[in-house]
Amino acid sequence: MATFDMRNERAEAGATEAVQTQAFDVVVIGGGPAGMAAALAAHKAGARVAIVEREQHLGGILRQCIHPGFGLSHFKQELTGPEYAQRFIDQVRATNIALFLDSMVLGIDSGASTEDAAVHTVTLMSPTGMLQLTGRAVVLAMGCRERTRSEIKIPGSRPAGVFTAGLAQRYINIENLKPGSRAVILGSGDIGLIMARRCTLEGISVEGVYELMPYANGLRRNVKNCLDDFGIPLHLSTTVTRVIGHDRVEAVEVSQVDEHLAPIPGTERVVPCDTLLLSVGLIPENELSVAAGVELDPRTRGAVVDQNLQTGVPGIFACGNVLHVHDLADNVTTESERAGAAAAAYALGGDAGASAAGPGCELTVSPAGIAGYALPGRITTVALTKLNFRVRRPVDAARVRIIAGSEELFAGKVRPFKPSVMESFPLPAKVIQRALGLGVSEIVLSVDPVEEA
Amino acid sequence: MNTNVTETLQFNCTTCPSECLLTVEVERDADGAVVKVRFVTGNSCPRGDKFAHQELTCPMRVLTTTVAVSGGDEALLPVRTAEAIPLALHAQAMDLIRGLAVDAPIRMGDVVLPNLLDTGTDLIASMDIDSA
Repeated sequence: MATFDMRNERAEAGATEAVQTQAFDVVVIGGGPAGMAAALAAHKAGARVAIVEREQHLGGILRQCIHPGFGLSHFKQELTGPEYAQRFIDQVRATNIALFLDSMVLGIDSGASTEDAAVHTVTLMSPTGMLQLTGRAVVLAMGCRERTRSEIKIPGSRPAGVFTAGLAQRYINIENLKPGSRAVILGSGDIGLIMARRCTLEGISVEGVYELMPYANGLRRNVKNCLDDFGIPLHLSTTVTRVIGHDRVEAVEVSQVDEHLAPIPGTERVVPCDTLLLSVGLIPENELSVAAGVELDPRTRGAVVDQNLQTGVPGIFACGNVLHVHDLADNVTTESERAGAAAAAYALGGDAGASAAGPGCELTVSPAGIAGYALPGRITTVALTKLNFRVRRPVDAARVRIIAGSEELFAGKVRPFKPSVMESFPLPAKVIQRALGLGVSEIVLSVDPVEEA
Repeated sequence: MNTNVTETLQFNCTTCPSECLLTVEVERDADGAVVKVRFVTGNSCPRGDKFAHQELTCPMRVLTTTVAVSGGDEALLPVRTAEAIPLALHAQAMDLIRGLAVDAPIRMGDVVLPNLLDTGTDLIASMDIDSA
């Protein structure tokens, strides 16, 4: 309450520059699995750390992912999303990491310029008013959001009852609300599959899951445990072509699609339902990043980063689903620990940390073949570098190749690849050294299908 | 007199993120019940073999759902069975759990309902819920 009064006095005085400022080494934006792992790693490295989270609680989207399947790699046991989150919440609570909950970040470096250009300023609105947090390093860990009906342009009327799958998940698992009674699910991404099971268990009948592509987009475990277990049909190469209903969804029209993903006339079928759930992809939530001057990769829609997960803006790092969409929270944790440690090293390293990139190594990394993206997009150090990529379509036999100029520097063994799995590949230091020796500025990560013998 | 039939099935192991595609040959009796799991291939570790046998005799799954909370800073408590229980019992378990309510505060791991449907497995809290 005292804070509120102070603010009023300030407003009367018209002194806008008197916004309260608190100084840290590393400011982490987002309190989900990425933010918590980054903050803990930065704290462990000796940094003074703050987490800003817009919800009332830490945990992020894990709080509504009540299903099991988390922690198999990080904790070597199968946990639910809330359990996975709680373990990190407990760790964060056991430190002196400053928490700003119920607080929305308004901008990074958006206000008046600070006297020290090497310090970033995060402006946020908290329950007690506006605050500024400063830090030499900022970690972007805002996660992603769902694609909506407008982004896939489903024709028809616009009644109530069309939800993104994650919103329906929030209604059912957090808010104790029932989105409908008879659902059709478009998209076989993991959230759609998980919601097919969740709806069924809660007495909401699921007529079927429809998938535009000729293959399921989610993890195999989810197809098996969420659809097969409950006899829910998965209709591949089929999509929703019309929403029917005035005030509330009454039915959807589905159609089969051809190899160019165009609906085939004459295959229309009307499916009665009162709810349409959309699980049609995720988009990294990067408005803050862009406003801060961070360059995005059009393929991932996340920041272009180097091997330390540092963006093009010195001192701003990115990790988790705001960087690229992951399929496993465990991978988010691993990546975010790297980002947090690198952010702390940058923040505590003084000017040496800022210019430690060293001379002579500046390579860009580009995807080719069926690789949809390659991350990091820049390599500035000759050291073992973890590359992440995802293929655009499933193949039974393909191999990873690293190419510089016209030379193949590495060829992996032939194996199957699936778009639902985020792959990682350790790029040896000697391969980077060889690329530099060739005088190139770019190395290419290519995933090339192999004709089976 | 032996009317048993041999069948080859394919499904993924869900024990770890590798999700090995298992090919399993099973012998079924005239009623379709599994008499014997003849062989399992495609698994890259012994857990795949164990999973296939379990899956064909009595598939087991962890059940997760929510329970209403009174006096908490969240409306719902996420809960899970401490261990996997038979998949065949999930619908019956949901009917039972739907009627439950708990009082805040709750700590992760607290037992919400002991020995769910005589499975020997407890229903436990998945997360902390503080008082409002």
